[in-house]
Amino acid sequence: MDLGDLNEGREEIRRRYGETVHNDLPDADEYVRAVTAGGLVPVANVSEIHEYISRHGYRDLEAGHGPLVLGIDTNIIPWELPRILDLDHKYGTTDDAGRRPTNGYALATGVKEELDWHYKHYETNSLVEAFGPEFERLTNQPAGSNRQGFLGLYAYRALMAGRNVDRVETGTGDESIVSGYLEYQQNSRKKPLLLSNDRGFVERSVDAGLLSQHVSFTPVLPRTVSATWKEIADTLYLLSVIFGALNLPKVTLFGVWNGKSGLGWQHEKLSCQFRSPKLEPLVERQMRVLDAYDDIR
Amino acid sequence: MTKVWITTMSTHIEAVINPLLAASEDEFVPDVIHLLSNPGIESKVPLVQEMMTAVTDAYGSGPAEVKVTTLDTETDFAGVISHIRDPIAAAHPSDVVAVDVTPGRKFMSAISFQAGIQFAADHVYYLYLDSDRHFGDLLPDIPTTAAQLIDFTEEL
Repeated sequence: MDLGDLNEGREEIRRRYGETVHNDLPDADEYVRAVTAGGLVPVANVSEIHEYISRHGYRDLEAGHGPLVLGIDTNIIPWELPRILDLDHKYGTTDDAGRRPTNGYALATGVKEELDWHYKHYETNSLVEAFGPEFERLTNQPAGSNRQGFLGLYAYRALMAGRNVDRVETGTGDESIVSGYLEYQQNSRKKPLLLSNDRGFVERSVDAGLLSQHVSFTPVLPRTVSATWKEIADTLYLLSVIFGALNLPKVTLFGVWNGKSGLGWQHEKLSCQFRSPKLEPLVERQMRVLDAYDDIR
Repeated sequence: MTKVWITTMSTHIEAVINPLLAASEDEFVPDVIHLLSNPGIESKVPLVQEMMTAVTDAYGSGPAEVKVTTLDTETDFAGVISHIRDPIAAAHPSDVVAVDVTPGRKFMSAISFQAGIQFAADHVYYLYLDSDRHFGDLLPDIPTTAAQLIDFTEEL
């Protein structure tokens, strides 16, 4: 997809249907982040990031080096970058000496607070008018970039639940987050390395004496890509969430819908509405078998 | 007409279930399943049975009856042969019998293949996956282009 076309289409929607509908649509930046997180396109400065990590990471803990822990800024936490960039302390690829790129996470409470956007009662009439009856199912659901906030919140929770994480007490806003990390660095043996898409944040952190690396997303999407089945599935999930609903041939995928539960978010559930009478029983049968398989595992 | 499925156990449940799923997708949903268990992997038999019930229940008009034969020793080759031969011999002419050679030890697959052809099973199936990338996945999670159910009675 041409990103210029995406933004132009979004402007056209603003002219025809107004601000509310316009704000519900993800912009080109958000679209690029979703396809990056899904694995369809790489992070733009991936080699620069790896160079920075190899300079500061892969700590020799047995030789007494302090651990390197990742801090992630609010603007990129929804997009699973530690996994995409292979920096995770649990699953990241080891070097020749068997060391992982990082040793855990230090997550700022301020980032969590910035993600904690609340449900807004959402008036869907204008969405239904603009995009069709599918959007009736989005009543009382998070709107526009709030959906991205939900992805971030659940990514944050997933890290807290499954990784070595230090909580770094901070307020919200760059200044408070940076000073929280600085205090953490001074009071622990661990060295935080912050990842952010905000150059101002990166500069501020580096000036304060912290390790910090900018993450850039590609400004131009390739016309074609090769991807694995899993990458396509992950991307479809993310796009369904940021758009709210995706109209695919024969099926509509809902990333949010009235009644989606916290567990639904945690398990990355989609709701499918089949427009093909042939496809529905086929997928239903497969889902019954997959559910049975999940139960016995 | 009864549809009969003859197969062998594997430590990997997916290796037993995926061919059954592929055949069911292809509208061969068995009414009776003969499963060969061998020493060392009996503990997984109930899980495989449960999945066989789930598959045939989802695709057919009800769960298949699963009959388990257990070998005393893994190298009871005659036992493997009769596990394949007996249900084929006992089948009514209108029944359709399929032998799945996908799961199990290599020698069991070899014997199943030979016995299936020799005793004239209607189908001798093998589920071919184009790479080991999908190892541990159940068929619906595998791209349809990456899996192919081969019937050796048609291929050879």
